[in-house]
Amino acid sequence: MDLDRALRISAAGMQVQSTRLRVVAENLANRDSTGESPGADPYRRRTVTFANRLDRALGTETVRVSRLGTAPGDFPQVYDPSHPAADERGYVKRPNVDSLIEMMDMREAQRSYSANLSVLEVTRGMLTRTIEALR
Amino acid sequence: MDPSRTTPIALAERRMAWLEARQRVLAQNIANADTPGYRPRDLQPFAELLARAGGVGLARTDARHLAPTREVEVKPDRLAVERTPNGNAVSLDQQALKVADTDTAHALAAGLHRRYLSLFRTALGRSQ
Repeated sequence: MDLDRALRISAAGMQVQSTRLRVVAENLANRDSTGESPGADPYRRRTVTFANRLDRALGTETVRVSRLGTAPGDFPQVYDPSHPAADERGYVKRPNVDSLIEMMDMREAQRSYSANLSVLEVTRGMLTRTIEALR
Repeated sequence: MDPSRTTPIALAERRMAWLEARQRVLAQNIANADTPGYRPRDLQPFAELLARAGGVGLARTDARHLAPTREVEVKPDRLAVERTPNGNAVSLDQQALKVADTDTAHALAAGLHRRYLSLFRTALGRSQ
């Protein structure tokens, strides 16, 4: 049934957005995670990609998390000779997490989540009206 | 003319089935609002579907003949022109508008269905 599928698609949309929010939380929590040994790499920012995939059990296409990757790019370096991860020149590599980007990602995830939630509510309303026809 | 196809009840039923299918497509569009390269889809308009169903079709002269498919076509939305850098063309406000539209139309069709059935109930002498 189409409405049932619509409910599940919206639920899948909410699920991927919460995965995205989890990744954002992970990135923000690790904003200061540097390496432990001299010259070691710090935390690398994680990314999440979605894809429209066919769900065979459901018989329709839904959204799925297609890949959890890491963001390429150089680590910013900060001069801090007393840090345990400082290299011979006294520089420490910092994670390539930009809190502004993470905040923006978080907002977008939140917005998409509520859009899916609204569709879910409308679909439920339609379902209720259809059931009312039985009375 | 096939009477079962033109009575208000059958029409309301078909309209509701079409709206339910559309709701599924719109849910899919919104769920994929952040999928790279995804293009929004929409159903063929209901009026077009009605015109096609009422028009010329294959005649079934034998019970073993396959029935013509009444599947609604899902087409890419041609009105979606703006794209984000990752190739996604879903506009959440446009989709939200369509969802609201579908909801209202569904309420109308469900109301029509209910009213028409209550006519029969009245004719049968039962209270609603």
